[in-house]
Amino acid sequence: MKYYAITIFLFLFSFLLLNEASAQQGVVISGVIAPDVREGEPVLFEINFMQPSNITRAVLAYRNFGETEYLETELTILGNSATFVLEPGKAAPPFLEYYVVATLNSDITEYYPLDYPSSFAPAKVLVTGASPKDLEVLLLTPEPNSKVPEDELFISVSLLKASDEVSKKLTRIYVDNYDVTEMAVIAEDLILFSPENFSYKLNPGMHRIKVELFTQDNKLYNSVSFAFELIPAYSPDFRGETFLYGVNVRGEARNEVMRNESVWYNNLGVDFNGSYSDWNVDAKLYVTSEEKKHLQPNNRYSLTVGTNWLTLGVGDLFPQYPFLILSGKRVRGFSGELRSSFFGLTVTTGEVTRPVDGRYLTDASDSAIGKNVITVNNKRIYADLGTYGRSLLSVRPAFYIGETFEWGFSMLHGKDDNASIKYGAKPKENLLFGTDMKFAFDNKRILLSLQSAMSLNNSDISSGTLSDSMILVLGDELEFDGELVKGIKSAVGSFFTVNQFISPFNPQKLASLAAEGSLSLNYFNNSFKSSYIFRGNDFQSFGQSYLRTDVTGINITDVLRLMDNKIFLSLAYENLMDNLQGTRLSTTTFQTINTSIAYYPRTDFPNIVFGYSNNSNENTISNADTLYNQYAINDATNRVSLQLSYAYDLSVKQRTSVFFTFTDRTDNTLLKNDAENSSVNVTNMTFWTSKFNSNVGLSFNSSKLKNSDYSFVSVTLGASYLMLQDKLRMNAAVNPIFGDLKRTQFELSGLYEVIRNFNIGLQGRYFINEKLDNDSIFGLYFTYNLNQ
Amino acid sequence: MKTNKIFLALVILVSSTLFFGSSGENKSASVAVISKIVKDVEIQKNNKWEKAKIGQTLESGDQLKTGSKSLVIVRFLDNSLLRVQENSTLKIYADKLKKDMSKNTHLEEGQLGFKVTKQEDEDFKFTTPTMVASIRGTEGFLEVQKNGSSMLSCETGAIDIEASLGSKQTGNVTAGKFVVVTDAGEVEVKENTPEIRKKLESNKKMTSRSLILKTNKGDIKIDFRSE
Repeated sequence: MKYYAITIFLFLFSFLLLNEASAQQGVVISGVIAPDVREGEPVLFEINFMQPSNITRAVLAYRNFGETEYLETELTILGNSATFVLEPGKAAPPFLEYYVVATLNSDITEYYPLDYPSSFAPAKVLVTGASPKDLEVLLLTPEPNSKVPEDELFISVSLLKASDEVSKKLTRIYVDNYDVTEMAVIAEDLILFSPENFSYKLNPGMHRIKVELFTQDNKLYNSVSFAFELIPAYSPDFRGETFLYGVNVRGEARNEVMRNESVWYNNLGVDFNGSYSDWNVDAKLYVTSEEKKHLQPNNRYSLTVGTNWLTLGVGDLFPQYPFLILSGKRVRGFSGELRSSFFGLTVTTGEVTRPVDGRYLTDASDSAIGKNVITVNNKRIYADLGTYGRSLLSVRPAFYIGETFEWGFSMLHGKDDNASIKYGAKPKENLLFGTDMKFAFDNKRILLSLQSAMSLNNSDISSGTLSDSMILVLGDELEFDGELVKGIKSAVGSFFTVNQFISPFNPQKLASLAAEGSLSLNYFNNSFKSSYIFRGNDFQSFGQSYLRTDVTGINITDVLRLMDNKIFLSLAYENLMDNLQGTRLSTTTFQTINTSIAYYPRTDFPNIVFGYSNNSNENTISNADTLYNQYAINDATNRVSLQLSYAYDLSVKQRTSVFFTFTDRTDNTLLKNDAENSSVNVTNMTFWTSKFNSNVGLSFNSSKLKNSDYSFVSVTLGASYLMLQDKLRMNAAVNPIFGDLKRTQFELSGLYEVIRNFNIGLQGRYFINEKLDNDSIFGLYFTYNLNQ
Repeated sequence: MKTNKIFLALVILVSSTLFFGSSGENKSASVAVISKIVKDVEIQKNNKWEKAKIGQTLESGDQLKTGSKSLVIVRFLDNSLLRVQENSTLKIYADKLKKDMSKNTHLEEGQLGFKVTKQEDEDFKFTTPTMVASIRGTEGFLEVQKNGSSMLSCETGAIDIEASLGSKQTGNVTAGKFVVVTDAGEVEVKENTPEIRKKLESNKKMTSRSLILKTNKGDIKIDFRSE
């Protein structure tokens, strides 16, 4: 995706913006675009925001069907959107579930889908399976998933291997969603199409070719699609013995008026990409007016140099280590990876949190207590506490035997800088040691994965390391094993702060151990996976903020493929429990059953996905226990979902999708926190001509909680038109919302190609709110590509 | 009687012409397509040379010629790939039988890289002035050297070799090896040397540089192979 990500963003923005689920629009997350994919393809997420200055952090969480935990990745907001590409092969049929959570400056969180906190119904990306019939169509040029200079694009498809059932002369070919069959030449086994014959301009970015085969009696036999990336004619992507480079520059000036408060956002981004022989250079710089010293950084910069055996990077990086150690975290510093056929070494060091000082409030008495009572210059005061600067060092050597075996050892040391702020309390420190192993047999049909880590934490390093004698004295007073702590100090005291605030004191009880193992088997069209997890309640990693602790249990998932990967029967069972160290009043068990039937016919019939899940949580405290019954847990949640999507011809090409979910939660405790949620979304997109398309959407959402009901209906009408010799694309949309949320949004935007590789865009949104002042967003942006 | 015999002969002649002319082997149909051109590439169709273009189809019997610092990439209908390097001349022959295609590429001079899709009942042969090579699902490169001998290197798969001249020796080249076939019919198989490996890698690179000339009638872009 490199620096053409912004080009892809512009293309999607102008072409698919109207396809957002704007009915789910919140205060800051205006929508998410995540097109359905085929197995083996990357998944592109585009998340659009409003008022990004109010967002301290945004996270995308995703998982495949049946997986216990969501993988989370911190999003980098550039301008008013963020993109994330999930690598090919990570999304598995029948679907990928995801949600987005934005944390605002006020610590309020907003989710997409908006009702996720009550419904726990994530959004889905449908992942269709490949078919043996797909091999009957060969895309000769361009190669699937390849990069093609735009002046070399010529589409040729071979039907040499097509079945005898197929009538080749009835074959249809599409580029993006446009039927170009009439402009193509079909000569026996070969289909040829030149974009010069196509009135729709193909801009640089990702595109799709679809070929439909029909039988002799004109029934759809199979449909197969391929993706490729179009790059500007003079591109550095083809390496040579000369240094070739490309630069992408983009800028934006945007004014948002929300609740009568006007904020200007100005930002400039530069991406540089160069190559020489086998070496690549990537540099990114993003500066924004939202950069404030009292907030975490919004500016971004990075420089990465690498070849196939060495990668070095400085700046804002997202290094990948085993999940328990460091994952989805931005590190501003240095990261390097060395890899040979049998040995690898990864090293990362840098800052994960910038210091933001607090402020003095008032003096405090000697007897005052509270977590915001601190001592500064020998004086006790009340303070608004700041955030310590936090940095970490992580190292992982690993050994490999081809692709069948991998064994790694990880170490992470994270520490708050006590001297980085004046008004702070309880700086922390964290040390982890871990190991991971992977085995792959029979062409990766058998995968065994094992991972474990142990952490040592210190919740307050402000007093420094204690002397041995002081450890013994405090051990007697506070009743912990002083000799054991002395032993810990002798082992790690030279680089880790050991005092009375370390945990765990009893590592033999495994409170800070995390371990997991999984076995995957892929045979006879059956994907079976079983896994076990153990996470002590004291396990912590500064490199992994999103880990669930104090839990153990099993997860079993089975996905059966039938009828040439057209039908997927999926079943998952999970049983977890907490209270591993007996620190809670009662142990809670969490049991989930998840089932799904997905039908991807690849013929003239909709894709259908039906899902049912049951989640029940229960502890041993009963309602009759008058002392503790307010801590009783006994609830069950049932969820039913149905998703249909269909591309068909009704004089012109149409694409319709329907998504329905119903969630019912029953709380059997005295609290009776029952909840019910229903949601229906219907959208239809019509491709009238190669230059003009329109979309209509209808959405209904209803939530019933114990003390309140909430429902709204949203309608979307939009259109997109290409004009002025295909240089200007205009989009317009109106979105009224009725019910408990009353708002009407008007949107008008345009993207104009001034000269080759230079585009400017204008966007305007106006919100009419009931009982509140109206809001508006107006912005101007540009992009420019330079290549040598 | 004589007239009947003449008539019968004519019928047989016409029927034979029609039958064999429209057999399952469609010799005049497209068998490959040109997917990339750098600088000077010519194609000979029906004994006429003309400048080749991207997207141009090739039929059995067509000939291709590349100039200095030039390159052409050809894809057969079964997705097999030829990268024809500079100063090369080759002729392709192919016979389609239902879903199979037997191919024979004759390299008269120059060098080409190849990536051949797995062959089941199909036949893929390379021929040069000194050898015939039978390929089954392999990747490598082939060169006709200035002294008349032929060199073929195999990166993956296996290739059967037969010398065309002299003592007509035979041999087998497997992955990681190369063979030299002399005009005396001698076949010598050796391990790939660093120079051969470098040639294999550089052959795969579809490297080109562009020179853009700005004229008052617009830009002229010239692509050429880099050194």
